[in-house]
Amino acid sequence: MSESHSPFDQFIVKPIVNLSLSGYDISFTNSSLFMTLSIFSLALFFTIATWNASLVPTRLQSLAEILYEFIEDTMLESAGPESRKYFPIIFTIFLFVIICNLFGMIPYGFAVTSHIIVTFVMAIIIFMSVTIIAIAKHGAKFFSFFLPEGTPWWLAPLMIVIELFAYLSRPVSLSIRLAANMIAGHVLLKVLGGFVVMLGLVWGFIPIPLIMTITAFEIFVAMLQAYIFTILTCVYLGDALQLH
Amino acid sequence: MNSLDELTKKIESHTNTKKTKRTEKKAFTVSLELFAGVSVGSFIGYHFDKYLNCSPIFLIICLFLGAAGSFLNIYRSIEKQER
Repeated sequence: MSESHSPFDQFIVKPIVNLSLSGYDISFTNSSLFMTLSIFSLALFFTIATWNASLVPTRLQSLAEILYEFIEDTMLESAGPESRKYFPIIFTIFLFVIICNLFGMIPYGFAVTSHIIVTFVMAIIIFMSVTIIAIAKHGAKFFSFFLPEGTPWWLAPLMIVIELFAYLSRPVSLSIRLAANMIAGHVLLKVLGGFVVMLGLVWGFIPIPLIMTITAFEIFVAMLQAYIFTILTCVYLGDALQLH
Repeated sequence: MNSLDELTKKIESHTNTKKTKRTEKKAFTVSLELFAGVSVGSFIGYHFDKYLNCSPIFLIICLFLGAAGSFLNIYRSIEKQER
């Protein structure tokens, strides 16, 4: 009984359609299913919201506009006015993360962002593109980013290496922050759900108010983590554009 | 006058609760940065060693450099939050 009811069972990636391409396993899994679902629901939402775009917005249209303006304000505040060019990718990242987090909160859903590989790929794409943007914009001056101002000359070689390691650890901490928060919330919910079963019919109602509270809190965390992921991306972009 | 003092105290107590919440988040950030820095350092060190065939030397050096880098990140993030 206990071997099939681990709180981590919800994160198992199961293939739905088995496919393979020249020896590689490219099966359509429940993870891919939920990614596709979230992308399509986002596209559907924005298509419906802006179908009959008018100056006086309808409810759906104003929801879309509020989302857009919120992220735009956040980005301009933390990355400066130069970052306006890169708004599409920032907005896309925010929408993808938030919709994946929220799809994970649906019962029997699958939280795509609870897998480190998914968040790490997003983080590494952000990291590499930000580095390329910085090198393209500043050229060789970019490497002065690794030498903080006012470093004595005898400390400079050590400082450059330490700064390089601090820079390289950015995508790791960015991806683990999101994945760890999602894993922690889902495991907590599953464990509390297990308490209901263990307490039986008579006392089983006791954890239910707690589960309700934690569910609401997890929905809040899902949105907050998407926002934090976005704001950190903006900060990294701002660092790349301005170099300190 | 009395009610004003009470109000000030109330506001102060609420600001204090907000501060403790922020401290919690800071603690998570600190542990995360430490883990990230050390893991990146040891990963790079391990692969340097594999490439150059000089087993534990670069692993040890890069582990400490990664830890130092994570301390730098922690210092920066706390400095930013204090401001």
